[in-house]
Amino acid sequence: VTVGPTFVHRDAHDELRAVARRLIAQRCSLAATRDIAETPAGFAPDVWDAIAATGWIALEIPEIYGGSGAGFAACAVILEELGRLAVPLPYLSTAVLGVGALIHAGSPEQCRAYLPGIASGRIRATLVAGFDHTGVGLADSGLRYRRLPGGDLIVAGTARFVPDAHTAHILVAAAAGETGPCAVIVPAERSGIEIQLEPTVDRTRRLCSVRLSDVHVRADEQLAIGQAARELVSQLLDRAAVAVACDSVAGAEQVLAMTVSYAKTRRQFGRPIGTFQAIKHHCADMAVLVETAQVAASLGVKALDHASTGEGIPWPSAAKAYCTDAYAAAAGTAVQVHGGIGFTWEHDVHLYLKRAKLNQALFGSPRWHRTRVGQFAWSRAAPQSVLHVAEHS
Amino acid sequence: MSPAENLDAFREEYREWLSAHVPRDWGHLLYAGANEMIEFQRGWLRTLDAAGYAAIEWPAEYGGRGAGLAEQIVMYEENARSNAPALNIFSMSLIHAATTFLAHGTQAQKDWHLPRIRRGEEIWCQGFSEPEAGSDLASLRTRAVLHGDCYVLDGQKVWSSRANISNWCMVLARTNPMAPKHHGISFFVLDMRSPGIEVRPIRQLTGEQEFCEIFFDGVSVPVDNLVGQPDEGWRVAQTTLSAERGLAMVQYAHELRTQMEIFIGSLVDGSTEDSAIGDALLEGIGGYYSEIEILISLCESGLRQQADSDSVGRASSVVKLYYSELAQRFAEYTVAVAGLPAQLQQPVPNRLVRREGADWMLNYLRSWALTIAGGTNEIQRTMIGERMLGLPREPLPAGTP
Repeated sequence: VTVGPTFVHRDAHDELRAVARRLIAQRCSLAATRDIAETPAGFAPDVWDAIAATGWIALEIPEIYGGSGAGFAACAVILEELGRLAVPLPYLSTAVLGVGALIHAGSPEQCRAYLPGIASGRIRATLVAGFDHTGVGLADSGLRYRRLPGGDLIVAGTARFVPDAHTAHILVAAAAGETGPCAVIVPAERSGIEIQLEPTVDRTRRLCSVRLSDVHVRADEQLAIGQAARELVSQLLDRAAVAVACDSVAGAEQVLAMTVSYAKTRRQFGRPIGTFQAIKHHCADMAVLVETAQVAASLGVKALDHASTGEGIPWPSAAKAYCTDAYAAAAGTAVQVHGGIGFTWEHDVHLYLKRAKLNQALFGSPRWHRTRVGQFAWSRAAPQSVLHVAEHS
Repeated sequence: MSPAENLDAFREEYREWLSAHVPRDWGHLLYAGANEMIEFQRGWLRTLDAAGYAAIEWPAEYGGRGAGLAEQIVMYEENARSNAPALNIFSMSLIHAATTFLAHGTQAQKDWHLPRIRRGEEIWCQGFSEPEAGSDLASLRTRAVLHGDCYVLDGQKVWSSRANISNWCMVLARTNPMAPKHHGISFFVLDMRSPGIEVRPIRQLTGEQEFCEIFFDGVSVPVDNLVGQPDEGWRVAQTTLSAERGLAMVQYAHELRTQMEIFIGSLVDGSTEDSAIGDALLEGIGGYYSEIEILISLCESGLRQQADSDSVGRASSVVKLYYSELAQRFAEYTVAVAGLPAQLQQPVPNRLVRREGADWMLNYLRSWALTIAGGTNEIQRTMIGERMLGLPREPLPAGTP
């Protein structure tokens, strides 16, 4: 059963979507995901290579560095199709965060050094910043730097909940320091970097704790400093927020399809349970969540590709909060409608429920993102008033 | 000019026109009597009409501009921005009746009614629901029997908004009791000044009297007042209802945005100098703010596809469900934030007044009409389940037609 979007036209990338859906269905079945999820790495390198060979990691990478120079909307298609089957791959960390850092702030030398390798699938990347539920971004990254004479940096501290650091070749790290925030890009194998897996309930993703013990960073490994670093991290978090929204929308579509299909075939009292209003209305509620989340996610994607000058509603935050909540609610209802079978390890619905719950918590909680939208709404109505809220940059 | 530039030019033009024409200081009309309010709104509609803004989406031959959805949305936005008077008394005429005529009306019906609607000479109501035909609308019992060149109407309607001030009514009546229930119904337009009509306003739980009962006792309706084919009125009514869930819904969504602005404004005004607004309040505002913007986009994208899709019926249930429950949740939220002051009785204002008289409790009480009217939300959920998701229908009890 496929429940297509009723309100959102996705024609711009129909072909890419069709190819992606087919290839991902072939290579990334939920049965395969269950096996991969129990390995330490948590993803299948051959699938990663296959994805790289199609050019999907390089969608946003400029052509001169081996990519196709497309907008985020193309990337969003892949994120959705991966989310639809809860695929375990470090795609978001590399294609959204790593690529994003380089195309937004990388010097030509840095881009030359890393982007062709990322495009070919040889180099994976991630962002080391603060991802606690209490706050996201630079202020909370847990890393601090000090500058040596000559311009090199020493970075130290521990950042938790870093996605896919265990398999990344390069780290984009955000650190605070006396001369303002700073973003750097360093090889993960640099001496003094220690990476440990954090055991997540959602086995389709991997989070790590990253400890830097006086790591030496060369001056030419600096990506951005001061206001530019602040803007870079905020841009990357917006990208991460929309990416998770996309994953969530497709996941919600999938749990709806699974649930509708089950309600049509499972019989009790001599008829399909889908004939009962109680079940039908649960499904209708899920459909409303899906349709509205599709709208929210598409507005998030649009906001990234047509970045306005900060005047409009912060759609990445609105989309992140709404879509991840919608996904979690839909997945919960899916478990309920499936009844006893939905509570078993054998049934796939729990893979989605756990992914949905991690999506809510990842890259800033729905509460944090809603508060950010609220700040925007408030400052629009009362530009002079001072807000006594935490600094989020 | 590109379409976007055209739209910007239209916005510029309309904004300028509004700044010169929106009546100043009409807040005193907040508690005006019905007649004063009708005259005020009629005056505003005529001002709009004189400048060609009364019904821009109609074809040019009827005084419109053949404008698209984008222009209409621009108008809603600019109306809200400039605090222009709403035309709620005339919205059933301008949107529901007009949409129905344009889709199914005879040439004579269009020529007669559309100019009068545009000039505010006709106020329309809708006679669909009956005491025994609410959610199960197609089981309606009001009968129309053909005698010569007139139908004779007998029966009773209920929940007809503003029937007490309307001079025209869209009526569904059974013309063929032998046909399956959806196929024996005809759609009439009825002059409310005809003999044999009695209208009784119903006092609602808010204290207002907007809904009415209508009684028909041998009312004569000329055959020319039939819209569409005899016995095929159900199809015509779907057009009327789609107007309710289409264009009107875009307008409701924009009104919700205005309510949000008023709500934030009331907090800004009420806050102390150092503005001790907490994160919890910002979170609540941010959540509803996001959802209202999602709703607006949902309505607009749904309408955009209306032209080339037969999925309007199923998609409109999603919009209706989401809109009404969001409006209700937001109303609950504002009441909770406003605290005891919101529990004090206030004079009931005319609902068209937009910036003045924020009465969150009244708003909350009114929200229960949204989740019930236009097909209860339970009916909408069943429609989504069966028509959109393809779930099997509930078996009907034996003997149900």
